[in-house]
This record gives sequence, structure tokens and C-alpha cells, in this order.
Amino acid sequence: MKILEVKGFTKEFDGIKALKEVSFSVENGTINALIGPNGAGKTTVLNILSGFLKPEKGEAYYKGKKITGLPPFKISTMGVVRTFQNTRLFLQITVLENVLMAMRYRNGENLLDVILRRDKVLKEDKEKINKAMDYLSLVGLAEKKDELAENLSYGQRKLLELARALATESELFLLDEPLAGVFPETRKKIIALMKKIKKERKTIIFIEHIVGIVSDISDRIIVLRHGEKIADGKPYEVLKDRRVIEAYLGGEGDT
Amino acid sequence: MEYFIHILVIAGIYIILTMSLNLIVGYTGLPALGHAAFSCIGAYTSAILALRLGLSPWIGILAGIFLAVITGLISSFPALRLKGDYLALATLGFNVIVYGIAKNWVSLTRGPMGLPGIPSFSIFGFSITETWKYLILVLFFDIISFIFLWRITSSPFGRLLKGIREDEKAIQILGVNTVKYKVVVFMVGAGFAGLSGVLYAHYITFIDPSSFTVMESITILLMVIFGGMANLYGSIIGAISLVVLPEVLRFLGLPSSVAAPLRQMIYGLLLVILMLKRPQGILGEYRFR
Repeated sequence: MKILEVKGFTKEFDGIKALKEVSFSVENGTINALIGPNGAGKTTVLNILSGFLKPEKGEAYYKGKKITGLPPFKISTMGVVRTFQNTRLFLQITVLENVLMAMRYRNGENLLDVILRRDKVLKEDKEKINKAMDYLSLVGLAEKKDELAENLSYGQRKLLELARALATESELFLLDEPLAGVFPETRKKIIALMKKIKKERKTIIFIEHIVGIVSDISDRIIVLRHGEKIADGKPYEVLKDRRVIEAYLGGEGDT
Repeated sequence: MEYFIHILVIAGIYIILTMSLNLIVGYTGLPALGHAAFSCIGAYTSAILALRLGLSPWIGILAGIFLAVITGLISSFPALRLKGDYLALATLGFNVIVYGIAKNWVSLTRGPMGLPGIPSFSIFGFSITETWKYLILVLFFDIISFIFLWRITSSPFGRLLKGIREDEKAIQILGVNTVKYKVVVFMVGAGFAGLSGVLYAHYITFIDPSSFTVMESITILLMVIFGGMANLYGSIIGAISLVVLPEVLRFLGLPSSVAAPLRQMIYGLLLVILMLKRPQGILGEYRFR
């Protein structure tokens, strides 16, 4: 089953085409890598899919429903979550609260319930805290729960952001360079988490530079260059492609 | 003694203003510089109802809060589009507009001449005229306001407000409609400011537009920052300190020719020192970045 369909994304920034007619579709329960040199338009694709940018042309359908043009929070409530290249955490609150922020409350977010039915809200909060702790344990940050997020190392921030994404219980994960700049040990952890997401029949689209890692874990690779899709398919097919090799070795690669 | 209680009543009224502004500025991270405008709406609504229609201040409270909430709703529209300094300027402009209306709609507000002879509250037919009785009334509303705001800020709802403050983009991808929360925060904050305006009007028994200037809004913001952002106890301390401090300096026994200017300067100096040494305020958990 196709969970996501991207049809002809075209995006311009000040007259420069960042994306030209990019189309692809993604199967449910797969790991998909979006690769390409710097400036290829990878993050732009994620920004459009998560609702922060609107394409000049083109549409995206998530589970058959059009998502382009919807505000980010609507897309998120449909089951699409993303992470950011440099992580965007809530720095001046605790690690646990960061994860709780991803959980939607029935009573705890209702102003009247919050004021008049505090018992109910507290009970709900307790359940959510237990759940959030599960996610923190999963990424190995349970002991840091009361630490302010700004005190975490870079790798820990990546993990926390992933825990937060998991806590939304989304079905489509858009991960912007989840493996960039982290120590090998953290990288292993993150890869294991990605595989776990796949095991739960959920879908990942992620951006990565290092071709070796990409071919190991992805079911499918989509290659962008100068805003155009130049290859799309199984790792061993794509990485043999002459144009892909050119894009990476032809002088403008950056990895 | 009477004077001392008077200071406490004023501090009590400022506590409501400071706590409610803290909800907007400290918790949600929206720098708003027009809090006195909501107070103004509350004060004038209740005063006019009492003077023109002879309505009880208790009805005035409800009407004052209601109109302040509506005003908060209107003022939140710029907040949805603007950020940071621009939002501060827009809310400041809003304050100027409300002040201008109060000053120039002479047929309703008597303009700069103000509205004298506003009646005080009465409970079961007994008028609250003594200052200490009014202090109890104000304390009663302080406690209600505190419980109300504390329940908001210490709940998952309040946590989301902090999320909006920390990273608006990130909270949106978690499925939170930030627009809705910002509007609600402005309405709640404005409602409490309206309440404090009503309490002020019926206490002083005279209001004129000069009590609701931008300078007044800045003072309230100072109290929030002084006491500590995103901390309600801090707001209580901030309001009391900045009301009482200038009064304490009055008793330093300085010669009267230098007392007044020196008092202002010491007050200013203390603020500068605090900001240098403790930018998050006395009890604050959050600082502007």
C-alpha cells in the first residue's frame, strides 16, 4: 500500500528553482532514503511535506488525502512527524517534558478541565508520564529525565528528538539527517530505532549523506540533484547508476 | 498603619496584573507591552456601569472581565502574525489606542477629567469603606486568581504554552494548534487584568486615563521580569517588591530636596543590578534569549 504520494513538487526561492517536478511514492512499512549533494532540495521536500513550505506546483497525498496546503499541526495530527537537521528541542524545559509535549491529552489540554477537573487531568498526566518514560528508556535517556534539554550533548539531543517523534505515535517519520554528526555508538542506537520503527509497520523517509549507511538500512533510495530526481529504486540499482556516481564523485559532492 | 494597608491593597491589585501578564510573557513567551489597556477596559466598564446605571460593582466585575476578554481576543490577532520585538511594539500601540479612546471619548469617559465618585463594593448591604476590609477583598481575588492561573500553568495545557515559547515550529509538528493557544492566553490574561482594573477603580474611587499608560504596562512587565518569568510566586514577589520598594526608600531620611530624584535613581539602579546579576529574575526559570 502506498502511504505517501508526491506529485510534481516544484519550488522556487527568489527565482531559483529548488525543486523541479519531483515525484515519488512511498510504500507503507519501508525505510526510504533521500540522498543528494548539498543544495539538491532534500530538506525542501521535507519542509513541504511537513507543511512549513508550500510548493508552487505539485501535491502530496498521505493515505490518499491531500496534505499540501495544510498547516503543520494538521499534517501532524494525521500521523506525519518530522525531526530537524540541527534538532529543535524545547531547551529550557526538562527532557521528560520534551517527550510529554508530543503527547496529546484529552482533558489536560482543555482549559475548563484544567481549571475545574484537576484530578482527572492529573490522572491522565500520570499515564502519559509512564508512557513518556518508556520512550525515554527506549532511547536510553531515562536517567536524564529531569535534566534541562539544553544540558544534553548533541547526540543525546538527536536521541531525545527521536523519542519525541516516536511519542507522537505517527505512522510516517520524516527524519532530516538523523545520523549526521553523531558518535558511532549513538549512530548504532539510532539505526536500531529506525529498524524498530520499520518493524512496527511504520514508514521512514530520511535524509543522509553517507552512502554506505544508506544502502545498509534502506529499502529504497531516492536521489536528488539540483532539485531534480535523478534516480529512484532499490539501493543496489541506484548506487550503480551512472548519474548518481557522477553526482557524488563529479566534483560537486560534499560528502 | 492605614498607609501601610493602603500599600498592601495596591500591591494586591498589582499581583493580579503581574501574574496574568506572566502567563502571556513568561509562560507563553509573547512579549506584550499593553497590559494596562485591559486593566483600563475593566476599570472604565465597571465605573461607568456604577455611575451611569447604578449597577453594583459585582456586576461591574463580570462586565469588566467580559469586555477585557473581548479586548484580549481582538489584541491577540496581531500576536498571531508577529513575533518578538514586533509583537511588543504592536501591543504597545494597542495600549496607546485604548488610552486614546479613554482620553478622547469625553461623552462617555469624561476624558482627562476622569470619573470621580465611584462607589465601593458592598457585601450584604454593608459597604466596604475601610481600607483593611478592602484589603481582604483584594486578597480574596488574589487567591482566586492564583489558583486559576496555577492550575493552568501547572497542567499539560501550561506545558504546551512553554513549548510555544521554546520553539513554535517544533510544537506545531507535534500536532499543536499554536494559534488557538495564543488566543486563549491573551483572553485569559486580559480577563484578569480587567479584574484588577475593576478592583482599582472601586478602591481609589477615581479613575482617569493617566493610570493606564504604556508606562504603566512597562511597570507591570518589570514586575514580571523582576520576580521571575514563568513563575507565579515570582510574580507575587515582583509585584510586592516594586510597590513596596519605592515606599521604603521614602523612609531613608534623606533631605526632601534630593529625596524624590534620589529615590527614582536608587530604584532604577537596583533594577539594573538585578538584570546584570540575575537576568532570570528572583525566582525565574526562564530568561529572554
